[in-house]
Amino acid sequence: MTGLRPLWAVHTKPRAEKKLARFLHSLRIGHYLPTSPRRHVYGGRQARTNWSPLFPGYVFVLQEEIDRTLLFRSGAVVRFIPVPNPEELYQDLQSLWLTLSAKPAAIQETLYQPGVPVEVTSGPLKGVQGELIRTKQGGKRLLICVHLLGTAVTVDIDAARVRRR
Amino acid sequence: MSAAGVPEETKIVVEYPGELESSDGILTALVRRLAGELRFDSLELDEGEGPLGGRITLWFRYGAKRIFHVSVVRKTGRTLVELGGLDPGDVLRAIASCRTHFDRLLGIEPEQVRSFESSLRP
Repeated sequence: MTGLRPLWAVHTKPRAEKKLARFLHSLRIGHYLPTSPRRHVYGGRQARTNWSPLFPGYVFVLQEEIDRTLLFRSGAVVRFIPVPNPEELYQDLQSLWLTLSAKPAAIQETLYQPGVPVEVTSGPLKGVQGELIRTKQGGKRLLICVHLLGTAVTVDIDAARVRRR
Repeated sequence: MSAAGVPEETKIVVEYPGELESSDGILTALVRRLAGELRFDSLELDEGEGPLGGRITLWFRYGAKRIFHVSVVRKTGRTLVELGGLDPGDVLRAIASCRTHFDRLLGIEPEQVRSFESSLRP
């Protein structure tokens, strides 16, 4: 982020944020698309890291004069939403950018607060349900509490295999 | 007990002719089954990363000790299951449960096991 203020929040079609960002980049239009890394394991194979938009469906445009007709031609735009208070949004985005720069897994960690009910969605323990105790290794692994036959057992598992219930 | 004073593991490796299509949920029912037979307070799932999925190991721990483990290795056309642990009495009971679980999972019928075991007798 530079000193430019976000003046438009462009609502995009589903899963079209990066397409629009590439289009804006090709036109040399200032924009901001905050992303965070998410680890995924595909079919028991090697884990891959994808950069997913933090605000799905939105790309922030940093200049006032834009040719809307041209941007609609990208095929990724639904509508343009003017930002009522660019200064406030700029402050929020800047603090978010600083957090992400310091610790990429920060956002993922806030999604998993202790006590949150979670479920294992893939892998050898698929279907196991429990509660989160804490995150480990900067959010890459999770320690969850599972109740089995009246006793509590902790399970140390890859965070990419788990989601909130 | 080994010469170095480290307790030796009771361990077996079972080779199944079939290959697992997916690793999803293969150990979920086993954990519930072993909860009644082994005394453990934590589980550690270690998934070796590799192009073919590598080795999946589930460690059963009691305190700081790893008391039992189940390893599943997917090879082309076969599956290796390694089972082992510290206390021989507990481990033999757990191995029997694990074998029943993996037999069912990989489509081995009890009759096939009986006929195989009888073929080994002199």
